Amino acid sequence: MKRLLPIGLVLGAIAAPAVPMTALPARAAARPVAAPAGGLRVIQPERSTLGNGMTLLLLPRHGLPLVQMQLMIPAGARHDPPGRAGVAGLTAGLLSKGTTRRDGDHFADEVEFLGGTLEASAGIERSEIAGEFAARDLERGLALMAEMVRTPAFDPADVTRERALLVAGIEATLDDPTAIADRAWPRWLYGAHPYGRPASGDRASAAAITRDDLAAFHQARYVPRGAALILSGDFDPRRAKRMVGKTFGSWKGAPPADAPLAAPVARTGRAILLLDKPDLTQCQIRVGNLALRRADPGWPALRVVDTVLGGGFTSRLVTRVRVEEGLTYSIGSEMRGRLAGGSLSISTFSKNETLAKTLGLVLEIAKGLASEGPTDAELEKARNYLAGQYPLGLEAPDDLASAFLDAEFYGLERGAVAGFVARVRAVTAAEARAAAARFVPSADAAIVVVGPAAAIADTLAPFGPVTVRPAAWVIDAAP
Amino acid sequence: MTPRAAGRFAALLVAVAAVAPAAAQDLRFPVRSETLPNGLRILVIEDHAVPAVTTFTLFRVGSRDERTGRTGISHLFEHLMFNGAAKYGRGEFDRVLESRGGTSNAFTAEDLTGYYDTFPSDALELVFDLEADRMAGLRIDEASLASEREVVKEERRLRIDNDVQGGMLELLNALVYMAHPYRWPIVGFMDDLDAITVEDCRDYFRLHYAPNNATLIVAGDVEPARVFALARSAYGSIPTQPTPPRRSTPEPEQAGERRAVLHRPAQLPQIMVAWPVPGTAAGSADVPVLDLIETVLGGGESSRLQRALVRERDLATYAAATNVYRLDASIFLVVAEARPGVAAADLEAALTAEIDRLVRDGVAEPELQKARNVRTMALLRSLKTSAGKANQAAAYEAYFGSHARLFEAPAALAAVTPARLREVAARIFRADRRSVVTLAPIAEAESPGEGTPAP
Repeated sequence: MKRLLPIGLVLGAIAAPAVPMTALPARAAARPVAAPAGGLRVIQPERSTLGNGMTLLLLPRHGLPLVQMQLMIPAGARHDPPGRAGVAGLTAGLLSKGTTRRDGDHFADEVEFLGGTLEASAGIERSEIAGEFAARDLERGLALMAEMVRTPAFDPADVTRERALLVAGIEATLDDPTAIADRAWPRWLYGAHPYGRPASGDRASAAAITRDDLAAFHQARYVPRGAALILSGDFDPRRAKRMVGKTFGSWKGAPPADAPLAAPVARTGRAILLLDKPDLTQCQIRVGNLALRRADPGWPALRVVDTVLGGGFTSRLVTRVRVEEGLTYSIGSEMRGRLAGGSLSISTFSKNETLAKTLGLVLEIAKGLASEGPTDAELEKARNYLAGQYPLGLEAPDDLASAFLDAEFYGLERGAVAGFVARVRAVTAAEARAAAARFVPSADAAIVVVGPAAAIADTLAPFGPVTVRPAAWVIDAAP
Repeated sequence: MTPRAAGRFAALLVAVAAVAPAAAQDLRFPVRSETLPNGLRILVIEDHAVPAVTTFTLFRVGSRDERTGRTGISHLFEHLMFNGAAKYGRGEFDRVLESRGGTSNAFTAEDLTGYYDTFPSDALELVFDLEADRMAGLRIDEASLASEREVVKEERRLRIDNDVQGGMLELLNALVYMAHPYRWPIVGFMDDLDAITVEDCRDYFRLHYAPNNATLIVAGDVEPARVFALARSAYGSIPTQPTPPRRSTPEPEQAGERRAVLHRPAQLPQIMVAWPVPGTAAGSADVPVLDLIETVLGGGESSRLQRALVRERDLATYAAATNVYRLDASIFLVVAEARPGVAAADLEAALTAEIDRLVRDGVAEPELQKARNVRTMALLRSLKTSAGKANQAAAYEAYFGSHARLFEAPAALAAVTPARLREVAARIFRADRRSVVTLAPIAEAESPGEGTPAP
């Protein structure tokens, strides 16, 4: 979860790219909003399909002499084989660690000598390979991207090392209370549904992954049909098209047909998971429930409600919990939308002594919004806020490209990217009230607390049934 | 470097020798500036890509301007800047700004405090009104201080008390600095946070929050002439105030290694190693050299620490290098986390061997060129948005005295020769000047048992 706002980090980044700690971004409550206003000119990408079924989106914008490339593969952790959770993530991680043409060191040297970047990652539903190069290096960058995507070597020594690093990374979650809570909450909400699964896998499943698992996943899933490549930045579309044909045109294959994911089931009543970390002086808190899939037409209305609840610095949560009561440094709400479902959740933390007061206040605020809906003034402010911040999230060419890639993946209606502001402005009070009543979590909620159980378990009991587990629950598979 | 690795670089050189770093003119963008009669310096960067604006207001005050007993006041005070001024009362700043589609945040560093706003272009006049209001006269009362103090204590718990690396950095700064106030954490110590009074905050405001101690940067969908006119009218009447000269006890020269151990519940040992480096204020020519060393050691997959510690020798899960910018005496920092089963001492020995190799053999031209390319491209990449331009202009103003230094950065990197790099490395990376903090993991306190549902 990104609580540190990006600008403070960038300033720190001049000083400290790796450990950006010299500057202290001080007011962490807000999260960056993805949200356009009057006067925003959103260019539509030029869309085409290669002979092999790969979608190509071109978004030329002349400015800085840079080009960005993002390739989306519609395969992620939800396609991991049974008992091998983490395969999609490890497959992505190994793409840059050596190809059939050159080893990982040479590959990294090639990319970095150009001052370029190429990174692959996997989420629950999709994987992405993203890169950025100087405009004059577009062809070289595309060739390198195609090389890692199409011909990774999965050298056994690299597999052994990257797997060990993956397991160590999963275990390192235990040192970070925020990471524990962020990893635990989806699992506590979704249970066995694939959306409850961390993309990295659990420590036993990750340790069990073999080279064959990765090669098989790559063989089956890294195919052009269903994949989408978007280029943004300073390039000539006709030349770029030729280059893409040259580097990706001979790629062949189609993914196996997947049964559609079942819709996840919402929580009824409250269930509290208390993950025990005996030495903490501050408890992490997550509260939420199912909400909307990303393509739901009700998305903009709930975004408005989500903003009233926990967006920016004047939301109900920030005003009461932070500004008036001084109970936390950061509090906010977040919508997560996926293909088959989504969630609305609240995140905060407070010292052990004020955990119960904080959780009680959060639930009370949520209940109030769910039962009465936003006031007219709140609605107006939230609409303006979302509309005003939205263009900023589309300013960088790759951010705009990401928005179009999202629209492509989730099947949003044409014009969704450019039309978001108009849709937000059109949200009525009745729509907002209905969305709040249905989706703001209070009486029905999956709750996760990370803290010292001995000191806090009793204080949680009034809020609902409490299940206590050692913190390591979060890195182990469900029994 | 093993001979094999050297061969790789030689091969690479042939393949890509024709590549030059992105041209310096790519980085350039026009900046208009004006200083008001009361001393407020204003920079304007025009960019009409989207109908939005970013402003930064930088005050030349930070945690290094504090005294013992009142550590953390700069940062706590920064929080108070959102809690009400003469015209816009408590909660109004954010409410009015967000109602117009804007948002605001701030950060505190050792040497500066910065406030920034992003908002639709039609809210520019309003934002100046809000910002000038709190620069002219902040309202500080017991109630808002009491509540904000608790917020900041939660922030300390988050970043230091319950964060392993935060705890290590706090210890490291106390080890490196004997005299300079950089030794205490920006967020302050708990007892000091409890001790800060309304009077302290009023004094702090009066001393440091003067127009002549500030720089205003405006970037985005604006017309410079209009920005200057609006700024004159919003800020022009705020009086100049005498500001105290900045104290800077020169750090005594370090003679001998310093070490400390932090015991915390953790999965894996970590080490942080720091060497003193010149601050940015002195205009030292060492800065770009150390920037390049940072990239050679830790910038990207192909960097030396990644290659040696993470990939070739299976010793670390993670390794990074940072040339930290501070105005006065600063540090070059290397951080690494041990792989499971690897002792901190073995990790440290391997890390030291990499540093020794750098000092002994330097860096050959192809690897140096790669580092220049990586850094120049990273700078270019940071300028994709008007907020990014404002941010870089702010950083160069704050740490190097002028935004114009940003435009000279590629040339400064290009001027660093292998011989110069080796000379700086030998002078900086001395065993008797380093400070080392080791994280020694301890077991967590007893858990009350598994799976006990509470009543």
